[in-house]
Amino acid sequence: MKFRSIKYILCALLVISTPACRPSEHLQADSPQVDMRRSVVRLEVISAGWDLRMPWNPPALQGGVGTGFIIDGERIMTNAHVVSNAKQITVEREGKPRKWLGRVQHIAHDSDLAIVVVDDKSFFDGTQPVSFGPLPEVESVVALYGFPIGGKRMSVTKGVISRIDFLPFAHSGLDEHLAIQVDAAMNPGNSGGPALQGGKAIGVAFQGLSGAVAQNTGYIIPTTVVRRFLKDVEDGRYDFVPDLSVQNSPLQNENQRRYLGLNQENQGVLVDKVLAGGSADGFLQSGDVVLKIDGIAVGSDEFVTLHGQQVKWQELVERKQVGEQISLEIVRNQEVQKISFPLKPIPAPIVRAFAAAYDEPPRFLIYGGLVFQPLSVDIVKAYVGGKGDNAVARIWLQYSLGEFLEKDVYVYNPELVVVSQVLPDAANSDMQNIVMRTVSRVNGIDIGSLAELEEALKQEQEYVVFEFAGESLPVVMRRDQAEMAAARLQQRYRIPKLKRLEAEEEEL
Amino acid sequence: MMRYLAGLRNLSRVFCFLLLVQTAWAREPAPDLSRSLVRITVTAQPFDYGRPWQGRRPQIKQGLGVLLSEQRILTSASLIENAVHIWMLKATGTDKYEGRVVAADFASDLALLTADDDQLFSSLQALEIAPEPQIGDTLEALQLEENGGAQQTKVNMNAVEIWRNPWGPVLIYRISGTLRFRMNHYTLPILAKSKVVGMLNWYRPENAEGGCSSLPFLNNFLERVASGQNPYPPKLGMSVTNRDSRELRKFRQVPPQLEGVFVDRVQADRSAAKGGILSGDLLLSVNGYKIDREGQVLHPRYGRIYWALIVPAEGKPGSGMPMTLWREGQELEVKVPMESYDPCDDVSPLMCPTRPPRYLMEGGFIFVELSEPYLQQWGKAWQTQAPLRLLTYNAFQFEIFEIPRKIVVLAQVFPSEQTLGLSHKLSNAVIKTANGKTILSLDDLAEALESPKGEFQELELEGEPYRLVFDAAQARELTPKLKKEYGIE
Repeated sequence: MKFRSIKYILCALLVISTPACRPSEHLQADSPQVDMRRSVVRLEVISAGWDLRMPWNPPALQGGVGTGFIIDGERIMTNAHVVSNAKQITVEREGKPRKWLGRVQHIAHDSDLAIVVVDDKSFFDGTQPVSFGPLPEVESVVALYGFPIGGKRMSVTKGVISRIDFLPFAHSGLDEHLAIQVDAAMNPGNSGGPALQGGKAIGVAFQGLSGAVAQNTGYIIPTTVVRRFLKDVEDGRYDFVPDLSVQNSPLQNENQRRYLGLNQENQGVLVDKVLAGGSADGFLQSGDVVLKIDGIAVGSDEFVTLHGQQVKWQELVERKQVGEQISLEIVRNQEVQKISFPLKPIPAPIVRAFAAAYDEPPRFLIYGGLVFQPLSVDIVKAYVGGKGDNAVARIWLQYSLGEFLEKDVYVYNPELVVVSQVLPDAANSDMQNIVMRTVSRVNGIDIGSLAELEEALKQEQEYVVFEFAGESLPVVMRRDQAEMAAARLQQRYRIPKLKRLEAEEEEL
Repeated sequence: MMRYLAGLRNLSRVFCFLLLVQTAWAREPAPDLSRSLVRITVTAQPFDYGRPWQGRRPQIKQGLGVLLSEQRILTSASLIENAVHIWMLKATGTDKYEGRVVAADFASDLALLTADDDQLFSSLQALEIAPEPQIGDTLEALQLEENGGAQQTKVNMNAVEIWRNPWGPVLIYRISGTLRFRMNHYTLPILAKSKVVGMLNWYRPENAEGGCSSLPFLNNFLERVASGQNPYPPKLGMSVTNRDSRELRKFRQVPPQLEGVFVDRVQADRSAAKGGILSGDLLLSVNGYKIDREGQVLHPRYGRIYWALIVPAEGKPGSGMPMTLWREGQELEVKVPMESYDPCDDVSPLMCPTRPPRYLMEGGFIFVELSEPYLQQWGKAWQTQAPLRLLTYNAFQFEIFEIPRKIVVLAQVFPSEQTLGLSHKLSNAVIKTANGKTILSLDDLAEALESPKGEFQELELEGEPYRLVFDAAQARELTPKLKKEYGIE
């Protein structure tokens, strides 16, 4: 997990192009020839873009192009960000004039992977599924296939594996997984395409660094992540990547090691905080030192050696499924202990607040012209993400989100509710200055979610009393006026409905 | 034709001459105001909040001061902000006299200087303080020509109004009139009939408008200085809400005839709290002036002005100001002590030119107290670039902290053996406790570090990585070594 936004990582998507291209013969000298035209497909996606600032509006449609490739079981592997919010997916094959309709079978926003299927089985005639290879060696040659900008036909670029490291995944903005850096050219439209080595896919192209900051840095999702995803969905359901849900620090400082009474040289990481409701909650404590994970020594720099590769110690968790056990050897109060516990995903309220939301319409509630929305990084970005003005509002919202995590607020308040805007009306004539504040209580009832807000608003009182975090005086509204305003607001601002408490309740 | 014109010219000359003679008769002999002016050259060295042991590049600032009685020279506080050296010169003559600040009130933007060398005052003439001017009066702005002559420009006093100085609201006189740009500054006195009204706080040449400090503020400042009190005007330490509404009043059952403003936040240990004002009270009047729902009072001399201006304008330190409140159905009268506070004492001061930034060095760790100038190190976009926790504590200090305190920040880590391998997350961490003691200032930290827990100093931090430990004896030993190496002190 990571909680900082990485501004310069861009998802690679969008382009227009048409197929028919034969891979160059001398690309993969060491590999059996594979005709990638039979495996790589072009995905044209019409997606629904909701506007968080007008959450009641139906989504606007937008188009994008990405790449996919056929894997076993007549499935198409691609990136989650290629098919997120998809209303319609059109699949095209090299050299075939027709278009097929595809649909998302499984999508993993945390690992930026998705499986698309085509119900018309004629699509698969003459196709060749790609199988997955191992983690590649650094410096080995790799070729990327896809439909990036700059032309209409299938493109191949070639490069070497530059490094393999943990990286924030830009699609969710919260997750961090193993990724492979390549220096092969990767451009918008390459997303979801295979990275081929020795006739096998060693990863899925997914993001790059902005050209303003870096050059020739493309990233692919390694097969460790892909295989975990494929195994996860074997039971027909996606359960998320498991996460230890701890914040930890390296232990490379001698004083710190002496203070903790450690005598294991260069070994062990320090647990700073255990997230409530996460895997390690109840098993690890702040101040514990993790010496080994599944029997493998954890270096004081947070790395482990796994099959000859240096990877972050969490990688041992990353390759498992939710529900599997993890065993740790820890030092607590200067005593070595062994613990083991089952793995869980990142607690849901944290994901809702900190990860970008996809595939669901925004939730909101409008009362007396006040628009309430659950606070998330998406909301901060939509309302006060611009530069310059609103700096103070942005600081307050980001700080509130920070406290939400750090002080375990989410344990009793699954979401923070914010007044995102006030639609001017007679019911709220004196309330223009309450936007971007988090609601603490309504009619004396603590508010920990939109649903709780709706309940609190049902209280039969003459006045509705709103209290805000960090504010001493309430804002009051007359119930009869607020209720009379409902129909008027809907008509005046063309709002089809005044609330959406559950994202799933609605058809797209 | 030429002759005719020449004749006309002669005629006009004669006419002018006559007119001049006549005005010279009508006027009293004008006092030579240049004898009351002092040229001030200030070398200011702003503090470096990132490296508090050193100053930033010195800057030269110039302005004028006007001599009042008792060898006190009045000028604006902004001129002497961060001053490390002051030269003073008479209007004519090249002798330089070292100046010294007697007192500065950055809220009212007024300062008093003096010189220890009596020679400066030998040929100078002190001016009196003017009576309070009225809106519509013509005042005089006083400047110096390069040759030392006084240049007097008539300006109109258009309004008495609020100036939202970052230090707090102050009352100013709005003036208009075209001032000539002289000697690179507009720091100059405003007079009325050759008596001092105040100092020009600001001037915009493009629309020929400016603000002059007001007489009640000047008189109060001089009085506070004369009686040896804190130079700042009294401050309540409270805020009023902008959330007032008809519904809120009905909900609270406020009688409809009452106006006033709702009290929002009351800072502990400050005047308003000491006077018994509570958050949620409806403030009805201040010093006998009724406050309306917009927070304005009707003043006999200044007209409709913001209620909070009454406190610095009419409050005398050491006395109490009567205020009326409405609380839970009852009207109450309270007497609020008129105390002034140094703005440097805020949780995160907006600025603090009177005290160099404090810091504490222990081993390679440099600790400082949070302030807005500290955050401004992050450059123009500091409001987005500086660490979020520090930004929040600065912007919402009155909302978050109920008691006066400081935020102690780990500002820098000088590399040493001791710090090798420490987490990068430590940078700009806020210190919560040290060796079990809650840290509310650098003094607290210094005291806590005197009693380490065994071999180690244990610091608890807010947010990741939550703690910092280091060897106490090793750090003590390192401090002088690192100070020498990095040229600190």
